[in-house]
Amino acid sequence: MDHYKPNRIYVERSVRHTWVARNVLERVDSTPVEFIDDTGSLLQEAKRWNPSVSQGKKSLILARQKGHFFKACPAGRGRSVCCNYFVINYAANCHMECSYCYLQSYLNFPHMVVYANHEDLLGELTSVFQENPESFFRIGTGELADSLALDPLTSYSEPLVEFFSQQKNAVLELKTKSDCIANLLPLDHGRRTVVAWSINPRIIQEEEEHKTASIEQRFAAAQDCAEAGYKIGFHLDPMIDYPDWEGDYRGLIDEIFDRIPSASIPWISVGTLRLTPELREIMRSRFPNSPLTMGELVPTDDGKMRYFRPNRVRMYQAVLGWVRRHSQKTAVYLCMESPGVWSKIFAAPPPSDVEVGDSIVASDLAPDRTAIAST
Amino acid sequence: MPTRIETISLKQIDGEDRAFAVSPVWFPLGHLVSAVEQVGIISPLHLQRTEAGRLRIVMGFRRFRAAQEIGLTEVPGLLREGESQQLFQEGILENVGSRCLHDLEKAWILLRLRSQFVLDESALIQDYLPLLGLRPDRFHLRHYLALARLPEPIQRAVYDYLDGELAIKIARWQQQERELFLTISSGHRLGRNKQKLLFGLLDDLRMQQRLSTGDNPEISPLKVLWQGAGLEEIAKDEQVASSERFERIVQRLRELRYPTLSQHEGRYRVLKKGLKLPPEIQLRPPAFFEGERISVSFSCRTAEEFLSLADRLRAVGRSEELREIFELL
Repeated sequence: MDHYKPNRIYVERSVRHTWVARNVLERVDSTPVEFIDDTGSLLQEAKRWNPSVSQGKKSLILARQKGHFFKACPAGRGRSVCCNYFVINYAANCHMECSYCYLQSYLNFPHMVVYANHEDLLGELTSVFQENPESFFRIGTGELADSLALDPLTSYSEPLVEFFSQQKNAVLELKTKSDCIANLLPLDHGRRTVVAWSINPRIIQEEEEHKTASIEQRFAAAQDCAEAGYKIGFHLDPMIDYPDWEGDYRGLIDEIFDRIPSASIPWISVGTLRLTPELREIMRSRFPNSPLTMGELVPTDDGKMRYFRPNRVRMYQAVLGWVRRHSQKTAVYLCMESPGVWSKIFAAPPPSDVEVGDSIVASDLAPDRTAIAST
Repeated sequence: MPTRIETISLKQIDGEDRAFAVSPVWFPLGHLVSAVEQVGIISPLHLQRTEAGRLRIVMGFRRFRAAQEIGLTEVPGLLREGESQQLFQEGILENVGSRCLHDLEKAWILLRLRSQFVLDESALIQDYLPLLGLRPDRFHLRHYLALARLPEPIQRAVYDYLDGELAIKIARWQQQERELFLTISSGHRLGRNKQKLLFGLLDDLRMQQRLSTGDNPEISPLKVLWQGAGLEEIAKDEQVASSERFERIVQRLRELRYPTLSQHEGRYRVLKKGLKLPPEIQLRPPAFFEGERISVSFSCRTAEEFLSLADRLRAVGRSEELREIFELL
């Protein structure tokens, strides 16, 4: 993979002495650094100058998260079945340039941002867990950024994994397309962290997931993490419809279970390609040779374009069948899909969001939770 | 600024020198000719003396053309001195203050400032975009500069009917493809939404062809498609009304772009026909088959009609065709 190298770093004065900021500044000795009061003026500049997506990401901002780090995953809003997932927005943006990445049209700030006040984050999580002792939280950091791609600079994963190792009612998911796991291996994770890889057949990775770790590198990293006792998740998302998809995805699932013990894989999520019209435009202009926008994508209820529904259903059914040949225990769930599609795949209407979430963690991650959904 | 208005012979003015022009030369003069015919030229042309001794128009290109068309030999003029950039800027202010500029004129102004007076992006964004009533950011600047650089036939289409954003996009196509788009969109007098619909389908299919056959500047992917997929025949069928011909073109393009969806829709139509529904009963699948429900509506005038339709619905409910329709979802 191509590791991130900013060509300029802006540091909000209020976070300059934080542990995260110190890590970054120690590790990028020759990069120009500018100290700023806040990011407001950078945002104004960005609005005026509209830097290209790639250009914007060359600046790294170390900022203070002034709002909440912890939020309900927005994917469950509206028409989609919710899997009761929560997110920590510890950073925003990703340098890895996947052609289909929704961040290209989702973020209104073009630069890479890391929120360096991680102690506030841990305080916020402590309050949430203490105030809701009966709830079980599955929380990921991979919503607005890759969970590990910046870890060689920030070491953000270390305090998070250690913090979660002490929690009884929460599990952390670090979702990545990188192989940056060096910081994780020596940590005492207490089996409270799942390291998860977004994964696609090799041909898709090579042609569409620029700057990411190769599939081989991802598997090697996943094997190292499994050996270090971590649980390993996989996300077949976005699944791509192309002439050889059946053979390639089937082979990929076989490889997952050949290389990682099924007992180490608590969940596999699946979601087919979805694009907003705006993202489609951006992809056409930034990646003109990508065939992804040429798929049979039609408008759906939430304004996103998805593959024609019978094609999606066929893809999901196939994946579920292939996983089930290897494991009955690994939960399979759909990401950002309608209740109708969910019913077709699992032959039952989706249960409540809490029940869906419980069924995903119903294993040794949260043995008191019950596998209700027929996943 | 001089205040003395002189009478200037048209022969002294070099109409070909368009260094200060803010509109393309082919821009229609509209009512200006008849107005000048009635009352003459009231506002003087602003002119600058060139090194060759002739007069260059600073402001008043359209008035000059109107005077030529009518056959005037003299016009009122103000001889201007000073920096060209300053004079051009005054020209912009005069135009902005006195009439609504077309987007192409705004684009021309920006391109002239950029290429002739070598102003950088920052100056254009900060000083000139707001003056022209445009949002001061690089996105808008680039959009307008791209408009100004379009080939003349596309600029003419923009002036007449074509959406500016689409114009910039089709300018990236091969010439034959651009001509094809302009012929269809002007021939069928398409409004903005239909232009976008047509562009979207053609652009996707063009890209599909290109990805499957590779880049070859000798071969126009759209032209190949147009000739090979029966579209040319549809477009040339003069027996059919223009609007229907356009619908058929779109239908054919859609079949090519969305083969599975089109097959599905075709199967639905066959099954629905098999139900032999009376016109009072309407069946509608969800858009793009993205949903779980078929919508059924019916209308009647009397209780007897209601009961009769209910019987019909009951019979339809037992049919194999209806079962298969639900399986399509």
